[in-house]
Amino acid sequence: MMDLPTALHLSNRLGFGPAPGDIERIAAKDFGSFLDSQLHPQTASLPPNVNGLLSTLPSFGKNSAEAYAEYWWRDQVADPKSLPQDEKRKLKRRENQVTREAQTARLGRAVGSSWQLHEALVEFWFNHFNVYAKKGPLRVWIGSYENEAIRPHTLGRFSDLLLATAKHPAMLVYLDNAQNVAPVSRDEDGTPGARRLTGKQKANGINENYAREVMELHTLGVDGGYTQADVISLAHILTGWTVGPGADSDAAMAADKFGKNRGSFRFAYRKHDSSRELLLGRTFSGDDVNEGDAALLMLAAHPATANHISLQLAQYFVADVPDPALVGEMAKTFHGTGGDIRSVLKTMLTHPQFLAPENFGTKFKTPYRYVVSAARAVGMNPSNVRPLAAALQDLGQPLYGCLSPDGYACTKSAWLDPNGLLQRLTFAMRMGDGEYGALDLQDRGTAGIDPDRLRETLAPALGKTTLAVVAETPKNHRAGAILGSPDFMRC
Amino acid sequence: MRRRDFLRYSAAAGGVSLFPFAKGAWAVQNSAAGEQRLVVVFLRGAVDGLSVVVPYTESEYYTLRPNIAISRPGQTGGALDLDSRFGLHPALSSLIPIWKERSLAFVHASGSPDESRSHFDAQAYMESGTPGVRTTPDGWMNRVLAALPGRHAPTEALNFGKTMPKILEGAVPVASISTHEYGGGMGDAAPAQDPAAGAIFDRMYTGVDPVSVAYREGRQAQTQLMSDLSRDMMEAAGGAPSTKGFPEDAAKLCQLMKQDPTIQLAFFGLSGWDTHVRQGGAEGQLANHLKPLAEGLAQLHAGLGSLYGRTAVLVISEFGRTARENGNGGTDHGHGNAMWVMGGPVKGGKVYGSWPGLDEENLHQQRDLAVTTDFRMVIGDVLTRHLKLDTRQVASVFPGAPQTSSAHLGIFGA
Repeated sequence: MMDLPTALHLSNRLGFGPAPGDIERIAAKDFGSFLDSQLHPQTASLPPNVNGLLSTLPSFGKNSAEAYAEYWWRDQVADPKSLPQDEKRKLKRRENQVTREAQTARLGRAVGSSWQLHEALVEFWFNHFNVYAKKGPLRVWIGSYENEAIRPHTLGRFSDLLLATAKHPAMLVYLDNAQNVAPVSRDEDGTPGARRLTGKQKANGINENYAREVMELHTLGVDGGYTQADVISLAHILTGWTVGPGADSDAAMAADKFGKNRGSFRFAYRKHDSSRELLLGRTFSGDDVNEGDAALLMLAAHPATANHISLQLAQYFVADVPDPALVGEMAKTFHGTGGDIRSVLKTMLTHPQFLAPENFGTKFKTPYRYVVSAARAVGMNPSNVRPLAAALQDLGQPLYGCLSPDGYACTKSAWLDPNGLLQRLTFAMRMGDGEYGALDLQDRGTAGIDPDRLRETLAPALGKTTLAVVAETPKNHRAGAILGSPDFMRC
Repeated sequence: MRRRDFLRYSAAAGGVSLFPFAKGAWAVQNSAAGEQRLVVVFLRGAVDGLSVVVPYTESEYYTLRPNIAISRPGQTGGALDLDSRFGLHPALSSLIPIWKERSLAFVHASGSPDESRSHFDAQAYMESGTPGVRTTPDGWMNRVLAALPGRHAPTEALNFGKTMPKILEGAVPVASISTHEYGGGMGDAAPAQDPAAGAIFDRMYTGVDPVSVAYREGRQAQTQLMSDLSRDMMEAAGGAPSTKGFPEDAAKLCQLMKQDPTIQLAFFGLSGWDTHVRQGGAEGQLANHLKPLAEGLAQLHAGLGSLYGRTAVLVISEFGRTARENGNGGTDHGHGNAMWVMGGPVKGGKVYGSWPGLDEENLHQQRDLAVTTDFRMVIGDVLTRHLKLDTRQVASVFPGAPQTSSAHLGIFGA
């Protein structure tokens, strides 16, 4: 049994806040078994209304090759530029629809799944290994990236997560490693020669982008002790890691090249640089096709990575400026378990810092967290989540729309600003009226969301001032008032 | 940090009244109010600078673009002569009087030292002001705001549009205003549009914590904007269908700036410039976009009144386009471009910069107009000569920029 403030804290941090009845349910459990259950999610088991939603999305579940073949029309036609305008518009709409379906799938699960810790980690890891859905074929790959590279590994080994993201076409294209080729590539007969590729994706040498970001953002961190020389070395090691013919071939030849490699990871031997490289003090011989894997595993096992990842997890789950002692404990577990995320989380969540009351209600919700928690609080049917993507756009955090590789921040300093706050209030008032899918169409009357039920759902979160103002507010605005209250901006 | 200033002030004022200051009081507090203005117009998608400021005396230009080149002055659809070397695209005819009165200038072959031809990378670099560096968290215009003296009024910088662009992201709060196309500016947010919301949240956000302070700042900005704009314009902006676009927003900015002396910076992001296919020449896709752009700029010139003498308008784009036309009557991503600089203090009627020419050996990677002037140098001139920032401040706006303190272009009067 737990007290209500603790149950609220767990609901707010190990997930996206309470849905109706959640606080009572959590409070009735004991902390250990609640934690255990969330740390061992049966992710395939989803409520019927969530499964129902996913089954309405034609592109959901397609892997990157399938999605590419079906929706990335630019490589399926001989001369895409000569298509009539309205034909092109239709095809573009269709490929943007794939992104929208991925957004719906993510929001539906975040709102409706009871494996809330897993869903929070999906958001965390996606931001950590951020890709931008509007770059080229990522429009049609974004769902498969999350489903194949992120979701299976949220509580697993960090190195698995790293390798899965490194090899997914979405990351290979987003950070340009798909174009990272040896400066002089080998031709068919092994003779070195310059390869001339035409078309937009012209690969003409070493591209350091991914090598730099994988060290700076994904593993060691910006102060992790690597040098520019290491970046260049790693870039050389990762040459040849590319996407199947589709992403880097000339459009005119595309029709002939329809093969099973298109839209999937491919190791292009002829583009791999076989020279010996020195990376963080270790020599890589260059002729081993697995040297890329080995290099990434070395990064994953590096002590700086343990510190960096632990800090980011603590910042997301515990406090904007986490206690160094907490981070130290987590890093020790990370290092000792070879990067087992579940173990690191257990260390974090059982540490006195996590359950210290001075850390309750102290984080400012990001727009994503705000929108999802509002949807959960009003008991939204996950089938209705589609309009939430537009709300996220309005609040400045478009889903899958972060341009830069460092992903969205999760701190108050990043998200608190006057305009953003006022936009949230607009959203709150409208959601209180039943918009944004909060109520099924036929239920939208003049009354909107039931404010009494909402108040009960969020009871431990609402302070005296808020409750007093709500009591004096006309009934039809009370739900909006609760959702727009300062108490609900925090978690 | 500006918010802490606000916090101390309102606490000293003895309470948390929503409108602790009359509008004029900001002007008095902020001695910089009423000084120089800067408007930045970002043409997203890489506008074809060679069609804007046409090098009509270069025979190469016509060889490279047999179908889409702008004809020489005097011919049908010909460029409008600027200085016997370059001509202006005919769709920009609204700008000719401004050129003739010498308050419009161009810096040709300018741009970024970074060679990326990726829209989103190059835009990010031009907005963060740190080409080649991906981890800069804020935009150069926000750093300008931080460098400007005085307490920051909530409407010191205005973004026209829904989402905050990178160029304005940062520690100093910026107000957003809806354009004719998008909602989501402060003017459209509750409680401005929904008075019931004001009644509720004004009573909830009463603390001195950062969230309450942000709420009150937002309300103040809203109130300011609402009284600055006439009711008609608010309603027109809110939802009436309009195709005028930029000229209308420019007119709105003029009205706002004339009524509110605290507005110093404004930003517009305009799209539709990525003309890979059927770009057109004197007429066509590009021309159709240039025309309202020029009309909007002319609107600023005419509508700012006496403020024009203290305003600089910069038109920039992330890179230029290929010198050679492609096989689809368009152009692809290039490198060097022209920056436009307009305003009372501008020494106009001149095309600045070092023109590298269009001979193949002078093209960047044998395909693009080269860059001979770093865009930060042009903006640097604006910052030092127009906004009166000192060397240290300019360095904080453009960290890592090549040393330019003594090498002014001379676009602004001394």
